[in-house]
Amino acid sequence: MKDDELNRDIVEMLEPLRRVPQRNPHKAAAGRAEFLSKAENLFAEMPVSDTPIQRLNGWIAGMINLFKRKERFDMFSILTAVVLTLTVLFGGAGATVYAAQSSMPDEALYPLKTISEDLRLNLAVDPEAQIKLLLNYADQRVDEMAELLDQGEPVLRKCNLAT
Amino acid sequence: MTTEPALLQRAQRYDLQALAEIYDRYSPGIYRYAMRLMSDEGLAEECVAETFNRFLTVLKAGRGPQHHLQAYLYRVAHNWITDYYRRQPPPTLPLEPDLIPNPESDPQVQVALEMEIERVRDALRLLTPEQRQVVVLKYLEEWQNQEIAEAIEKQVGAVKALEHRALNTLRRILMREEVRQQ
Repeated sequence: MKDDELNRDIVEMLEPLRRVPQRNPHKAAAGRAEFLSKAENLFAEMPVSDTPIQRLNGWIAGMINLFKRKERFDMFSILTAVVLTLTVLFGGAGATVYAAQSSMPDEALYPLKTISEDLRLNLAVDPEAQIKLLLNYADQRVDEMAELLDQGEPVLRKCNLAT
Repeated sequence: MTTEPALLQRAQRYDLQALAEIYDRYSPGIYRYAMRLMSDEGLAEECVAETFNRFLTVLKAGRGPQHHLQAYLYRVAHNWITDYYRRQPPPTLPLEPDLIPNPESDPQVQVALEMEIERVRDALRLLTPEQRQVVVLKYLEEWQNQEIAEAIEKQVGAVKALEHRALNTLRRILMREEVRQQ
């Protein structure tokens, strides 16, 4: 048996409650007048500007709309793509060269290290600065050889002794 | 006729004309709802006044309903009635009930009918507030489950469960009384 059929007896018992005496029109009119008078008084006291809560709600809605706006979102996407591209192209290369500075002769980044050293040497115009750089590079080569020796690696074959 | 969302938006801008329209549209229903549950003209008028006062207060505070205005007003009215019930002792049958005027009817039949109404009303008071709200909105106000769900802020499935439990409880109360009366 469906619920509706099962409950018919109970629903029928509720039926008499449907009939409600008509509302007294005078009392209804008085209630309406009181409501409107109260509304008028309340809103007359309202400040010209929004209440703090309304301002807060407006600010929150504004922030949400800022990110919801289609054009703004597209601009963000383009900007993000440009920044990412530049970072990959230049920032990435810089980071790789920086990482190569601590590489050892038997590592993949070592040629990058020596190329960057040559570049730096060519860019140095002052002969004194060039000598300082060469001495510095010579120190590094010695350190590299010492480390290779510690690791039991053949030194002369792996080190770039051109500089 | 202005739609409910449009009316609500105007009310939020403190448009008195919109507030008057809201009162005219919903106060008769709220009065009827309160009368069905409380059977007292004075209390029903008080319930209407308190419901609309509450609405003004939340509007002024910049809060209030963003949609489903009717559901919101019935919810406020229902809470007011529930609070009133909590403050009152269990109901007794009034000596002079507000008889529904019907000159063609026999006075004895009228009194019997009024007593029957009071018996059903008392049975409704034994339900939980939510069960009572679901039964009254569905079977007396003829709302759809979705509208009731909005009024009590629950899912439609929960409305059906409340309705099922409410009708079972009413059956137990009313049928047991009938057996006792026989």
